[in-house]
Amino acid sequence: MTIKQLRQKFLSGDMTPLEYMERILEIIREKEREINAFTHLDKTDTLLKEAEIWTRRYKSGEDLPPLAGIPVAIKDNIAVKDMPLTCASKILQEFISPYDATAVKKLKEAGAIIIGKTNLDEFAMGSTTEYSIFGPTHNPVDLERVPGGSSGGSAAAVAADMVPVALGSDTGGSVRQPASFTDTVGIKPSYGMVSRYGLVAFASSLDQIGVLARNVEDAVLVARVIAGKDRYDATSRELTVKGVLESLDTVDGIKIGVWKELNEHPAEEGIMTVWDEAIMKASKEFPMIPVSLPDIASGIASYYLIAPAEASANLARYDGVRYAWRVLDASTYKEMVKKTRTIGFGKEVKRRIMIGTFALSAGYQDAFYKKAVAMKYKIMKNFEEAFKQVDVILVPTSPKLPWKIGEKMAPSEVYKADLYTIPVNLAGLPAISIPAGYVDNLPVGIQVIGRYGEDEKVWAVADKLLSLWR
Amino acid sequence: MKYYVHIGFEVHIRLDTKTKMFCSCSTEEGEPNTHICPVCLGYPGALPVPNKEAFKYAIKMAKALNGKINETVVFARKNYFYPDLPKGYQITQHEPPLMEDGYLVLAESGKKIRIIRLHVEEDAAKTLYDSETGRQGENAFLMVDYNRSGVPLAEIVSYPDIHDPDEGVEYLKTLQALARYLGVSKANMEKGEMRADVNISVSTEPDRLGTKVEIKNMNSFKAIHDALEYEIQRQIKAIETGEPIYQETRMWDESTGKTLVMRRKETSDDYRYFPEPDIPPFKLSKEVLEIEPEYTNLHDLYKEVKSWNIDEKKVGFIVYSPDIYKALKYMIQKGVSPKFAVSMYLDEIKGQLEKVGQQIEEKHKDWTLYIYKLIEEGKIDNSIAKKIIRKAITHSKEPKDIYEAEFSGPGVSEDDIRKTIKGVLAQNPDIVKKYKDGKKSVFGFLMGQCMKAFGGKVPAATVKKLLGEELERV
Repeated sequence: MTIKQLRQKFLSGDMTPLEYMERILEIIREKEREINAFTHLDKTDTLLKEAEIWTRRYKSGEDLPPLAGIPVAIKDNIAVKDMPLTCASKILQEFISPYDATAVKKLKEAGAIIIGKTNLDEFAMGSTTEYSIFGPTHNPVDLERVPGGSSGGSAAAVAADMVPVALGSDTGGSVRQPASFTDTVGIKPSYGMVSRYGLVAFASSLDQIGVLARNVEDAVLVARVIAGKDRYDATSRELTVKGVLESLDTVDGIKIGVWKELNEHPAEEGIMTVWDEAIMKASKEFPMIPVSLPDIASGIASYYLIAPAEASANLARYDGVRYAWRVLDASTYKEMVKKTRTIGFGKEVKRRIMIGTFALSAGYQDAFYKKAVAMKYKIMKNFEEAFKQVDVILVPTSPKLPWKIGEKMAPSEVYKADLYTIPVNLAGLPAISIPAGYVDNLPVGIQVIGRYGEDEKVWAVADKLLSLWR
Repeated sequence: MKYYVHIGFEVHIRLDTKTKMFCSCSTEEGEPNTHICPVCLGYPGALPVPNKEAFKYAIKMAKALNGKINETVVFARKNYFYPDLPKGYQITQHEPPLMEDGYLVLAESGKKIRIIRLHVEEDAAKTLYDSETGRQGENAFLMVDYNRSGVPLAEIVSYPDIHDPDEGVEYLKTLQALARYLGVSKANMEKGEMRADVNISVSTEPDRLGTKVEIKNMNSFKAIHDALEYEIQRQIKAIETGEPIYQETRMWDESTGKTLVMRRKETSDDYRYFPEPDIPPFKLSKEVLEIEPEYTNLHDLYKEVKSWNIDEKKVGFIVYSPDIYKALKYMIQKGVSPKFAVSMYLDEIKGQLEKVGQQIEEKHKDWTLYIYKLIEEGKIDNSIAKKIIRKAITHSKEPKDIYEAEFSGPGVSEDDIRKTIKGVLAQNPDIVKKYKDGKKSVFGFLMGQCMKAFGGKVPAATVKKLLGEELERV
């Protein structure tokens, strides 16, 4: 059932927001113990009361906002007033946000009920949702496997029918890869389309709030709600989106590009088979044109310098001075900061802070950070060239199928799994991951990538492709 | 041996905007931690949005320093840990700064001091140490007031073109006055609205700089002067005794009158500057770029004030006091003689106000003009003028009210004056006779009698004139 259908039922009285909320809370009660999607759930009383208010308002026949009474879950690195904002980190474990992120504020204004916060890799650094003080999130498709990350909690909650939609954040694939791993849809908007105000910064030039849902229509609906220039985010922009409840664009005349160099950087065999079939099916509806993106494999090297460099500064504020948790057994400022950060941050976060600090250091900045930025521009140029021939480009979302929780992999191996998603963030482009098929019951996602600001086109094509592939 | 001293300054001046550099919190002082928000506290998820108003102030100062303006603003992050730095980095301008390669003409000497750069940045919060929190020993801790966090600053960095403490103070006074002339900053050192760090080196060769030592923690011109004096002597002594001079940061200790080592720099600080990703570079608006400073060269003003032929000692004070210079200039343009303007406005009115703990204001210009007019018209003289001013100040009234109530109208019109004089003459027929017989020296006695009769309300010159006339008529 889509949000539009749900809304129809609320309007007709077939179902009330209260009944729906009760159903959802029942599903969460039933499944949460084994999935561990949430880091925080709002009180049942509060949620039921809110749903009841919407139930009454639907009955009154007044004009209601597009998400009236729809439950939404929020990744726990996005601020919701009076709820914990932990980033799954010990260092923020006691932090309650005093304010709403702009995206959350917009959701609330659109009538959404924020039911709680979802699990993630600490500070969104990871692709498995295992690096969390709340423990790993399990993939509803196969509980022994990771749901992807870092927005694994949001993806799992959506996949397990705990919520129709959830917000995530995508810095190097953190919405799209979990969508791929959990057989859901994940939108990563153009950089600047959604305000980052209230999104805890990981890599500011790459971070973007995104949406996870079970179908394109729902994801788009929510993306349209949260889009728009925000005076609290100087990097936000007014990009064209349609009215929240309007239908998607037509896809007449759209030309699809297919990444040519995939064979040089192939995904696992099973994924390649799904890919080939998907391309075949798509070619019946769209002209398919091979396009070259020669440098995008260098994206990993570029990304894993730029992102940690920015993170090293972004995470400097967690010093125990003003808020959240701090060690109590320190006698000087320096000792307090040192101990708080040493104990408060997990291993992967500290690794990235170290890499980033090094990459920005005098004497190394030219060789590392500045080179990485130059590569970012080269990748942008690659896309620019390719988009001269086509409207959108297809690339698999992940080179790997969801792996087992606890599987030992070197950090560089895990980083390599971001190969297909990272270039999109570096170039600031809109993309969406949609389910394209299965390998032994494990889902495979494919990304549709578009020109900057052409999010609507990407969504329309994705919706059409999903109907061909499902 | 001859020693060569090189002094350079890093001066921060607080730009006088209503709201902070990257959020809409007030820049006013207030109870600690009352003008704060998620942005200036560095809360998770908060983002900076530049206050473009600040550039209206900064551009004026930048242009007044005669350098090249970089029209595209690029902010950068300067990374370091400090309890008063909420984000763990300061948002500042690195490359390029708002202005580079400028100069400042010193007000008195007219000497040019080259300026390396002026850039815009945010202030840190204010740390209160044990002495200010009143907590000592076991209970001691630092307290931080974030009201100042994020207040816009312009940092002005000079070349080491300054060679002695007096010149150093002249540089700072010129800079401070310029900021005030332009309305860019109140630039009060005691309030921290202007802060100066100094670099100083002593060398035995004219063309080579010595080891650079930085001195911090001076919050008055006197402290800076004393610190420079002390540091020059300390370094000369070190050279003479063959002791090493380290590249280090020293702190001025007011109580002992010495500079003390704060930290020694083995290597230069690594602030890991990189472009601020939260603020895309932006071009300054046409409106901002078209702003021109009303003043650039205070030495021109100095020469002008000198040409007024007033007390030499007051020239510097006037030039360094924009409000006073502007007021005097206004009065002079209205036809008041410079000497009178200075003696009445500066010595008399300002002096009397200060005695009762008040400050000179806009309206006191008009007081001066009014009094000047009365004197010009012969209605009062200087001593009456002073009486009027003092009464106006002590009774919180306007000079006009005092004059009209006490020094004009019944009793002091020309007819009344003549009448009173006639009375005095009638009472002293013998003296009048002596006068008429040619003993002119008795005029003084009669004059004194008349003045007494007027109770000091009529100008002596007027009395003298009318007394003379009346004596002729007898």
